[in-house]
Amino acid sequence: MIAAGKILISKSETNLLDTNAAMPWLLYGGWITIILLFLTFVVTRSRLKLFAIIGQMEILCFWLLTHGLATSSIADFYFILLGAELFWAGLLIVRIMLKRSVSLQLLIHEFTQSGNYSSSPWIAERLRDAIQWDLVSISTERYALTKKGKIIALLVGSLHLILRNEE
Amino acid sequence: MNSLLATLAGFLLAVLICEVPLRFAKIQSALSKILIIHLVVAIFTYRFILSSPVSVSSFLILWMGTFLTWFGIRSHMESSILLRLLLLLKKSPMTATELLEIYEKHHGIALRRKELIRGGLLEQNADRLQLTQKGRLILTLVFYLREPEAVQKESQV
Repeated sequence: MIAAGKILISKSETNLLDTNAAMPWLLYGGWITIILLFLTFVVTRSRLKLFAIIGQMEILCFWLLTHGLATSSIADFYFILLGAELFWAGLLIVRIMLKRSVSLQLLIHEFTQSGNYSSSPWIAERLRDAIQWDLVSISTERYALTKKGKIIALLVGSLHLILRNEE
Repeated sequence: MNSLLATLAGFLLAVLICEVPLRFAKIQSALSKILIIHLVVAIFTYRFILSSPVSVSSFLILWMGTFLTWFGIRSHMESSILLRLLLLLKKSPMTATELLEIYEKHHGIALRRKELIRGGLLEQNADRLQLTQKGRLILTLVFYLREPEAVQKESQV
């Protein structure tokens, strides 16, 4: 009985040791994934698809390498996994902002002091995008929303009202 | 599961509080206030879930990731030309010239310049706009993160 108790104690002690040993590796893995995602963001520059693919592969590697450790700290594992996915999505949006932000273009323009700046090239480009993504259609030189465009406009309009973005 | 829900609820609270400074400024201009709000709410949220088995590192990673995604979406909602065009076309179909006129009048370059001045990135200096130190720092970062050829090409637009 005593001997069995000893065995039980030593097993639980082993589990505790495993938990403590696995925990830092899970956390190191999480931070390494975040750092790798950021480095990939810097290195891939405007190659959006490349960043998206490599980023997902890095998160997959984190999952493969740590899901065995996660039995002892399952909450931490899911916190890190969700955090890494959201970090990846956030970096994707920031990359799109860097590529398309008119305010940044305006800042670059003020830096280079090159002639007058106009919104028209940007509006023309966005209209082309809207047509390509089937949000807007054109007939007799007038642009109108498609069904898909109307749904998105309704959603965005409601969000703008909630966020009081209307000027 | 409970700690995850509590963390997301804490984040939602931070987002709601952030709407107060965001009523008067755009997200980039109010970034320091927003970071302070998130820091304070994150500390309170972590204290709330302290009894759960979640470590501070994994809590931070989740908060950082959620913050970055929210920042991107919120910023896009504020400034996206495409979304503005959809909202304008919701009222009635328009020609490209009409769209450009209305856009310039309500959301155009003048407004964006004003916002950049308010955000401390540009300053008016004897009838000329100049980059502030903060503006130069942001631009250096942007040049580093983007293809140099793309920046050169766009500066010539």
